[in-house]
Amino acid sequence: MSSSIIDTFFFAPFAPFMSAVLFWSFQLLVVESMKYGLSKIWNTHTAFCRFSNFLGILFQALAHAAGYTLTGIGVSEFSISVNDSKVSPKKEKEGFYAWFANAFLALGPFFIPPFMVFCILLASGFIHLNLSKDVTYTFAGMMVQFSSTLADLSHGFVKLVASLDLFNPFHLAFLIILIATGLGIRPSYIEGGAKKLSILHDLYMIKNLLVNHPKYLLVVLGTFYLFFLVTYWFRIPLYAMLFSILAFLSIIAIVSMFFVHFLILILYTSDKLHSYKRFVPIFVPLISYVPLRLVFVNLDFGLTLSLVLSLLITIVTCVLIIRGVTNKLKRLERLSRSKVRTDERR
Amino acid sequence: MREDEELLLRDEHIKKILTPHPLSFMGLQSIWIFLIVWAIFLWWMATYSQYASILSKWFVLLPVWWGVTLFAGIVASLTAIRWRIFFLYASILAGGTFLLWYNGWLFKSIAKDFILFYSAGVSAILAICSFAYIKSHRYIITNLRIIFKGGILKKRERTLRYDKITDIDGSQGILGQIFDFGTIIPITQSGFGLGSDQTFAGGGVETKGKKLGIFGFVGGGKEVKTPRTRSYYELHGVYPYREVRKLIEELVQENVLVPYEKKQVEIQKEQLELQREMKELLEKQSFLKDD
Repeated sequence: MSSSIIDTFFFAPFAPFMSAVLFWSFQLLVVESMKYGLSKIWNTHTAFCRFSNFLGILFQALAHAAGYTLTGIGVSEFSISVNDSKVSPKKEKEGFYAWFANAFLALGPFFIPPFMVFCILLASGFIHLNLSKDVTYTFAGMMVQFSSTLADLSHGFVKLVASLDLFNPFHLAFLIILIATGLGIRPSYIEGGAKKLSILHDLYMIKNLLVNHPKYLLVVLGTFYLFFLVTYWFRIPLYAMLFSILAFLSIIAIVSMFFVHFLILILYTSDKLHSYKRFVPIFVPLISYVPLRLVFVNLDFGLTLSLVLSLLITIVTCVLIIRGVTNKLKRLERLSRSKVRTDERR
Repeated sequence: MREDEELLLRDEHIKKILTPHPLSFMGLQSIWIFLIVWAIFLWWMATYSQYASILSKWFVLLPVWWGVTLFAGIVASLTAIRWRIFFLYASILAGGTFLLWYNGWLFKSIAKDFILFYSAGVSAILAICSFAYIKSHRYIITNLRIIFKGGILKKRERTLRYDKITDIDGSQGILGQIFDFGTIIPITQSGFGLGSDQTFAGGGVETKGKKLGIFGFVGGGKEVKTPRTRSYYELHGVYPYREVRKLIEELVQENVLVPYEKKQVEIQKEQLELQREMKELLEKQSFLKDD
């Protein structure tokens, strides 16, 4: 009985929280990978990279403004550019309010862009929130509820993404929104390129928030614990659902960044080629998708097959091109062969 | 290039020849982009969507095509304060409907396909026209002046000497920041390059009795001077923005007399006057000697 009480009141609240943090950590790694990819094409596709930075700065500024608004500080000045943003507070406040606004600035950019996609999915009926689930208030029970809610949410989203019909204007618009979300998760730099934002910068900012004001952190954790107790008392499955939504936002962000990675791969491969050949990687997804749609038109999973195969064909083509162009040993071999031939001729 | 060189004065040389970035005329480009995107969307809705059965009927399809296009035309006209966009859309719609009726396709299912191809054709023509309009702009920056040239049928030309420039206004939208282009408006002493934003509020009351009618009207106006001119008379959407702006600033600086230089010029003028007087005196002296 005593172990059950410890499990319910001590371990159970941590289960969904830790799981959400795990998903967010994956998101952080994917963000870093995307930034690395963008850095590889920065000099050749400056406009594309500037656009991605602008989206990142826009969402960062929105997160900052949301932080100021929610804490009652208010926003007196709001301006955004491709390189920088300015969000000035209406009142100078210190203490918990300022800390909370800064927490929004540090964490908001990771969740606000996917939250917009989440709202679209919820409004268009692709995902549903089920509040009538039975919950067991133990570590295992909370994990089960977290996973089951996350699975429900992800099912609708993944089903939509996998069956994207690129001939449908609404699906196309959704894909563009998804790519814009991926591009805008975090800016690559601020202050006109003077300050680069990497995973270390983000983690350092979060560490400062936690270490410099531990009592504020305790207040936030205490609020969450209180929320857990209320949901436990009224037997509402809201506590685990909240963290499931946060983890789902990370999944949306990861999926959207997958499409961004795909775009970056195409652009990177295109840079490796010369003259008209540089358009080959760009046209491969288009050329492969149309015939695949025609071939699988009568199949149940025709849309999914067309999309997945088109993506795979493009990825394989890009990898083969990169390998072919950058395979120095092969080129050296070719050079040595031609040298032998010229020597023979002589 | 040769034509441009013929314009040059003595000791004048070209620093840069610029044309606007195609994306800097996004307002103009959006006229044809909207037409084709809306036509594709309507065609898809009338062919494959769940509303296909309703939209494929001509008495639904045609009003929807007209309604949305005209609504977009009104919004664009109000935003740009140019009613010609609305009239352009109205004439395109009228032309399309006339062709549908003339060929006897109006009541047939081919109407939706015709709207798509007709819109694509009109959009292509408009795209070519807007491309020609953009490319008709030419800005020649020399060491002495800026020459603004342009016009497809009616040719326009403006020459602006750097010493006449009092102020330089620069603006860069989001697209400009992404693609590194922007608009530079050189404002002259005469106020060339300045426009005005006007707001007006008014209201009227009218009551009519059997014999007498009273009419009352109150109103108010506000005018703000703002840098604005036609794209032919400004450096519209020039690339690379920062580099061009710096070049213009430097050229203006080179041609503007600073207070110290003004003093130097005055001293030189005085010296010239003295030398002239000395010359006259010497001439008089030599004349007296000869006598």
